[in-house]
Amino acid sequence: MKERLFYFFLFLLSVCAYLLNLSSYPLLSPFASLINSLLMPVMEFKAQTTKKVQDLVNTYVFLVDAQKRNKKLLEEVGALSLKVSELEGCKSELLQLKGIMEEHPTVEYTLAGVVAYDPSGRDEFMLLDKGKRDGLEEGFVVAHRNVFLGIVDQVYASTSRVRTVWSENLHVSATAGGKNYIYRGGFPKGTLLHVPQEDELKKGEKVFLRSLKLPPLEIGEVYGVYPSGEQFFIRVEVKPYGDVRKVDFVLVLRRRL
Amino acid sequence: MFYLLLALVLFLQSSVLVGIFGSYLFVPDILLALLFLSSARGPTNYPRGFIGGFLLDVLLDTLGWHASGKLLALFVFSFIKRKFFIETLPSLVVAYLIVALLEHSYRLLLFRSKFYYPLEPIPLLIGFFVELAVVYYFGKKLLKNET
Repeated sequence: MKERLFYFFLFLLSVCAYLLNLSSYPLLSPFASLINSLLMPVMEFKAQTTKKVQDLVNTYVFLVDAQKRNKKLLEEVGALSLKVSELEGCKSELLQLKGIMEEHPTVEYTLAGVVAYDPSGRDEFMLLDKGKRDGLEEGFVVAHRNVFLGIVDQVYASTSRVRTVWSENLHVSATAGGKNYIYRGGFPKGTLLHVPQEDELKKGEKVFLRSLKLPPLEIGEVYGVYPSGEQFFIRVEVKPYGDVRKVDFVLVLRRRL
Repeated sequence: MFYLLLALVLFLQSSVLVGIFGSYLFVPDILLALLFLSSARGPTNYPRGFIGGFLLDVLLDTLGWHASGKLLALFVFSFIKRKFFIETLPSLVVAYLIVALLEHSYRLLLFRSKFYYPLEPIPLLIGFFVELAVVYYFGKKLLKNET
């Protein structure tokens, strides 16, 4: 019983020591400092061990975390690589498109004056004051503003002859109503050849010169749509815009169709 | 033998386990398990409890915290021993569960009456299960040696 009372007293003393922080009291501080100086090597060793264990635990946690992040990043890198290859494809396509788009402004041209017309009155050809000396070649396209006039078909030393949109000997590829046809010149009207019956071309529809290398030049407009007498096709007449006799100067685009 | 074990446990609890668990609040109380198992048979040994608690307090610079806790635990354990027979492993573990819960709650309350530190339930529970595992393992050995 006495022993228990003694330890109960020790218990109360311990509680008071903790709550009142007895170790810092002036009366007990020499005793506390003596214990501390005696246990200094043990305390240092304890502190070092704690630090080392803490470092090891932190390193382990960091490595586990790094492994998880590494796995996640690898997945992201895979996805990004796929994205990069897609973007590379897009880039090459854009470059190709850019190349096509940039070709139009680089079309070179020569300004030529009209020196003679067709004496038959059918405006099938005209003579220009520029020829081989000026770098003109057969097949060059002749235009006035945005209207297609014809194609250079004979080149002489200082002059050249242009086969106009009114000539029956002129055959070029044309576009009308979103479809491609062959335009054959003619006086007083040109025609679109081999137009299927199901194609809905209407009067007044514009007909353009079809070329990937040149800007879309206007040939004329649909004048009339008639049955051709053939089984599958219709006859489409085109009124060309180019008025050869009113034109004094033309642009010779230095590029073939 | 006991004091050799005590020195090892004190070093383990005050340095290695503090490094692993981050704070001495969540460290598994191996000293309590040792005192419990050493007093499971025969009379309750209060001097060992007080010396062990006092030395741990010196190492952790918490004079009175562990000492009072260990004495309280031994008082409670002495009472349980007088009222119940602790002859099997489950009864030993249940007795330790009661003693440890009381002791830890008391120490946490005592700590909170002076300081504030956020309690993290997960390391606290892990520490408690480690203690239980120690008591289960060495208690099994103790009972086996008796038979």
